[in-house]
Amino acid sequence: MKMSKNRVSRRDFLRLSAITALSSIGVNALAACTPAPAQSPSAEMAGEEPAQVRHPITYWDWWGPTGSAANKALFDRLPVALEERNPELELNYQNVPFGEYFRKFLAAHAADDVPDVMHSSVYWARDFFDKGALLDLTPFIEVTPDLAPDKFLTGALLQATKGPAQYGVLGEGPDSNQIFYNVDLFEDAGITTDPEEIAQWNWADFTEAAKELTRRDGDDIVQSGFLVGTPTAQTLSVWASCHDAGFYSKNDAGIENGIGFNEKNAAVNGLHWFLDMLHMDRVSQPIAPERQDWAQFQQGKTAMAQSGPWQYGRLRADVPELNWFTMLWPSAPVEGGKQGTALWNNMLVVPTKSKNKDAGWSFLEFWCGLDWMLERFKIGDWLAPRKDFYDTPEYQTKFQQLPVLTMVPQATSVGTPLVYIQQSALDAAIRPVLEAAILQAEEPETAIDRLVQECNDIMAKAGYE
Amino acid sequence: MTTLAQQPQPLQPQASKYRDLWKRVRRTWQGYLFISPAAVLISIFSYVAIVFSLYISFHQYDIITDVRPFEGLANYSRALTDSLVRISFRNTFIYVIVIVPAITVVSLFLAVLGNQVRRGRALFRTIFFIPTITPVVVTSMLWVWLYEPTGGVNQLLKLVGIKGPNWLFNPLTALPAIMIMTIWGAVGYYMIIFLAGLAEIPEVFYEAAKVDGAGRRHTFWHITIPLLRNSLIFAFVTLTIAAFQVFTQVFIMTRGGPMNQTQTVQMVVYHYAFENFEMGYAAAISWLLFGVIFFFSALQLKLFISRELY
Repeated sequence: MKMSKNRVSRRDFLRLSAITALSSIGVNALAACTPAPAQSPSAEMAGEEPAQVRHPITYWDWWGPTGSAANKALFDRLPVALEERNPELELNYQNVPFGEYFRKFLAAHAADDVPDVMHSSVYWARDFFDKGALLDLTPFIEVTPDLAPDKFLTGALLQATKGPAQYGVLGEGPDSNQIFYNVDLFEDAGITTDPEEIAQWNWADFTEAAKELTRRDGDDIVQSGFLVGTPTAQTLSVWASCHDAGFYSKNDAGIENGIGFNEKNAAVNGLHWFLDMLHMDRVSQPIAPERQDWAQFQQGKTAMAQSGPWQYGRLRADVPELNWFTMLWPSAPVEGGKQGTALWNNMLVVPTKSKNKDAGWSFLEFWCGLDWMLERFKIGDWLAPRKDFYDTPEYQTKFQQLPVLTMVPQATSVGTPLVYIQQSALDAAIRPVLEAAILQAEEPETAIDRLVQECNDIMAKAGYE
Repeated sequence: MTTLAQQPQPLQPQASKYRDLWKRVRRTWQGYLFISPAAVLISIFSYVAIVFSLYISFHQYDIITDVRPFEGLANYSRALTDSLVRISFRNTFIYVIVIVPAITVVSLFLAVLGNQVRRGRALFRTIFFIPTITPVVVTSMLWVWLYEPTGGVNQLLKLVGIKGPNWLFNPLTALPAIMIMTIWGAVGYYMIIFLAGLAEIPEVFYEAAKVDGAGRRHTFWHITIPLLRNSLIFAFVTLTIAAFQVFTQVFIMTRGGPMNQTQTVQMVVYHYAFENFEMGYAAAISWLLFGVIFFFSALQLKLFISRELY
């Protein structure tokens, strides 16, 4: 009987649990609403002069400490280097994966919770600026001679400016589309490997070389001369560049006013060139969504494949025995044709809703300055978009060891900026049309006419007409 | 006296009602408290979001811009004339029409087969259930490699002298390729549903049929199928809803290509919402899809559910 008196009934137990849960939720909620206690000064600081007030700065980047030892070293060094140069800044670095970056920024903007400064791809920067989500940095740049436009490679700032406004400062790159070639396979096939001679090639010379380099086993291609991929917006920029045209057309004030990638019939010519290589000359394995082009190049299963300067360091580290060099895309066989490529320079931007714009700018000054770019170069061979970088002894020494580095400024001087306005909408419109053409379901001329019309509609809707 | 006695009468039931309510609340408030976190979360992240999507479907809404004008039914009428939306609905309908009966038939066949297996029954069920517990992203990647021009599927076809197509880059084979992968991934789950249904059929019916001289085919059509009706309705309705919402495998395997031949409604919603910033328009397409799913689900329930109980 005594036992039963002390026993807790099911109802009492539930009541007790509910009250406990409720109190703990309440306590936690109250704790969350209370300001965080100030950090106590360290023992070293005690008794010294008053601690300097540090501004926390939130920085977003898709670059992160994972993926390679160089990446880790870079992000280990970043907060230390920042503190050395800007002791008043306290870095709050947030890694946002590239695939989620765009959506995360949309959500952050809607929630008024944007970073103070962030790395931005050329794909999004102009659209965000047009919608008022990014700051015009011109007033900051005017009082910061070190980041004046003339400090950067000629042509590199095209995707960071709109008329007189500049919404981004170049923090990395310059990136471009280049064709990597296997020097040993070229020599085996008796094809010149002299970059000077290759620079004189046009599309027909390139196709001839690709044919010589292709090896077959019966009907199957066991070594591609060049891997032809489904053309994309980037390919349209390349073809336009080889015709000395641009992806967009511009008005007299230099503002984009429509599509320019088929000026001089560039896109139609480019499609015919690719179709011939794919179906007539058969220099490439068939197109497939998951074809591993880069792996095939590393394994010597293709003599040429397209990629960019970001692969220089990785290729040397991953396959040190591979003998390779790069070329720009050969000139189109038309009057005024020239070597070409698509180029882009990702940038640092300051969101309009940043709560700490001045600190954001201070971080941007640090990241885009020569000192930090040289440190990055030392850590992981990252090149830089600044002119003065190419005059430094550090670059010159490395250039002696790795002559391919010369292709980077060359690409910047001849390339056409990659699609940077309404990228995702244009890409979605471009993909099915170019697929129809490459699958020979539609004539190139008809497909490109339709495409230009569709793309001009998208541009007009975004206010560019 | 009469007046005094009569006056409280209308209040009596009201007071008693409140007393009962208060009694009930006192008795059950802990239960409500325990479900409240889930209820709050579901309300915010499901019901509020659903109502908000209906609201923005009548507006021009892109998250960033502060000006969001009311557009009435403009987004809906635009969707009805948009060729991409039309293509996506066509592809989705084809997908639903093939997938729903195919998965039902194959999984029912496997369930009946599995029900008759005497040795290795657990192994049989495990083998077919493994694809169900593997994330769709993983199985999609796996099948992308299998569908490569020189991948596993074409190597098998080569063994029997057939030159396989470029599965995912051929407008004629891309959608069927995705369907095959989906059927492979889903049959295990529905096989288990049917096995549970088969286990509930009393053996006495089969014995009676045997005594009456019914053959295997007759037994299947006149006993198994009618008594599996609840499982079949469940399979049909859930499969139809899931098939109309197909997204992950298409996104991973083809991204809607080639030539929009695998573009589905959910892919188009994603495209307009997260690639074109047109959240209002994407919400309108979502509500059209909701209408279609609602109609077909209701139709199936109306057709299949009868008053007869087995």
